Amino acid sequence: MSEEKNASRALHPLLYLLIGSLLALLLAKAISSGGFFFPFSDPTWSAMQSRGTWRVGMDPSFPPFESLDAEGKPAGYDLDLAQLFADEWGLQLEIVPIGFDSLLDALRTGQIDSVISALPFDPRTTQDVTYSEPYFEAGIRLAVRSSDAEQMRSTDVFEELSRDMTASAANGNEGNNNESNGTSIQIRKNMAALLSGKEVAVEWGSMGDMVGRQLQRIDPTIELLPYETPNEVIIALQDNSNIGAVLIDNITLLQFQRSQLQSGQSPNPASALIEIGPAVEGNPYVIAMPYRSSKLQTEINYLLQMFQASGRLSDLEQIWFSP
Amino acid sequence: MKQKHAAYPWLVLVALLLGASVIISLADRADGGFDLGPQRTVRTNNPKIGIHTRLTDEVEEVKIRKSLEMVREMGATWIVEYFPWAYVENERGVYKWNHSDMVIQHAQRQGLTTIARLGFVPEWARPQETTPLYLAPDQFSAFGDFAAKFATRYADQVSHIIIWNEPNLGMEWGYQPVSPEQYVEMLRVVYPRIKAANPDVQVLAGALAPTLANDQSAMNDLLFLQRMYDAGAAQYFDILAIHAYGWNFPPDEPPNPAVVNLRRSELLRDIMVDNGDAHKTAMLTEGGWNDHPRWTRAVRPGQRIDYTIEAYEIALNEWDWLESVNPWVFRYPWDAKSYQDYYTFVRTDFEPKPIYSEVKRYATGME
Repeated sequence: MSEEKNASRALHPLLYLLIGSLLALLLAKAISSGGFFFPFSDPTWSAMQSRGTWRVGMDPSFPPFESLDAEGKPAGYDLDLAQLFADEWGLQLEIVPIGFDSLLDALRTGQIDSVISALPFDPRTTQDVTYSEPYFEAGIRLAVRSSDAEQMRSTDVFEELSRDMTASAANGNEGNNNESNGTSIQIRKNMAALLSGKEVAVEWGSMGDMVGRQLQRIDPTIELLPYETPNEVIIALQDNSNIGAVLIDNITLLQFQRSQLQSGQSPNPASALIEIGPAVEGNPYVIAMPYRSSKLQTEINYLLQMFQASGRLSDLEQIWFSP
Repeated sequence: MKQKHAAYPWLVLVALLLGASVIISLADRADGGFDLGPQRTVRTNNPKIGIHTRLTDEVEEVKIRKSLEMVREMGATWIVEYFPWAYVENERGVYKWNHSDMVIQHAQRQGLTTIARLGFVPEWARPQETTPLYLAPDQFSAFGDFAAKFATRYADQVSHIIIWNEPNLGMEWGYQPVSPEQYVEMLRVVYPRIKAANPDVQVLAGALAPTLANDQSAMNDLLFLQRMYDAGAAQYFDILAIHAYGWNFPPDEPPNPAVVNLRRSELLRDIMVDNGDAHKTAMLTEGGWNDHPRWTRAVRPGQRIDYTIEAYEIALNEWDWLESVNPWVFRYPWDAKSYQDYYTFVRTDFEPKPIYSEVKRYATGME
């Protein structure tokens, strides 16, 4: 018993040393990273509340996300999205027009509180700014006629493809094939198998064309049909029954799908387009905030989920992607 | 025991000799220890095809080699590459050549001709709070010394050197007032030093940004070139470097002083001829088209392919005064996440964009 007591007493100096070392480490880390950071403090959020406004930077030159209307005022999907947030928070929305390449600099220098401007996620800048979850995927989609979709979805290859894509998305790699990891290579192989022997329409020279050429290297029986513009790709699919699929950006695809819905008639399965799986080449749009805007980031991500669940994002698509 | 001890000096001597021979053999290796691979040659249907690479900030040798292999496979004979003075001589008189050695030796091993662009001033050669593009006249000779060192070191490997970049832009002139006369003064100091170091090297000047602006921030390139000649530039360069961006215009759009397009190059050529330099040639050392979806000066991706190949064809069939066409840019080490990414031929992960594949098909007949 007395030996045990002695042993526990002998541990005390070691514990002190351990605790002291940990404290010193924390202090060194705090100093090296420019001071202490308390996760519950967010100067941007606090400033927005005391100011009563949310200053959002935007380059109004990219319809339908943001452009200037007939009166010269900013309008578009991103503007309406920003307004949804501002309304939820009871803040006044202040749009600050800034050139696209200067948006993140304006954020870093405190001229604005956030950027909403069809801004693609950039993993290289996550030490400079905070990003929301994606609110729109603008990347390349594989799409087929709805009449062909069922048959395609019933194949074993499609099941395998869906499984890999889900796994890839869970790892945060949705549609991002820059990394030549095993999963993305497998996705490409399965996608090539799915399109084997098919004619695939692409916009000549585009990212869809690039993905098509990748797949063609895996399976040379895939035939690529190049067209000058994305709209010509869509028209070709409608006019040419030999074309089995298209690789096209999601904005063009959504615009086409919405135009069919707006016609008031149920889309003809022989011409309606259905996307197969998530983006094959990702280009997610996100909202950017100043670095360590933890409260603002939490609020934005929470509301994005709410807007998604309540159909308000879908409503915005309906408004801004319809002809 | 005694015999055992007596062997030690011999063992030490052998070890020293072995070590020395290893060091000497490494130092003597012409390739500087780089993994260069076998000597290659470029196969192309158009010997004027080139491209501006961007290996300045590419650290990994394997990526430098891969880039240059792909350039060669595309059927390009020429590369333009930037060698910043500050990277080599960051400390006055102390030269670190490892990266430029790596790039130049790999380029040579791939059978490519390197056009080296020099600039970017180290801190010790400029006042505090100036940008690395600021070079005061009292440092022209220091820049000339560096350029001469470069020309000497790469006498057998680099046949062309460009002095400075876009001096008609205030930003590229260190935010000083743009001055053709001052640029010519720089040429007057730097050119003879390069030629003294290597009389065979061809010195390019100009590399002017095509611009219609004429204010504090920039000077119209046509005006700038004429004023260069007025200041006596003709004696201080061998070849004119031209930057030819197409913006929204196709390559057959006629030249017009009020328009920035490919054939603006012909207007620059006219100025050369008018000033008695018809015997000299020119090179497009930057240019091309951009296919960013939201940039107002961009074209569709397919147009970019067609226009680029057409530009190579024009150079081959119409412009006997032009030696090579080097569009901006082969690949970036990382995505810029801006319109700049839409100038590249190959993605950062080396995935070839369709423009790469189509130029390769045009130049080599192969996919």
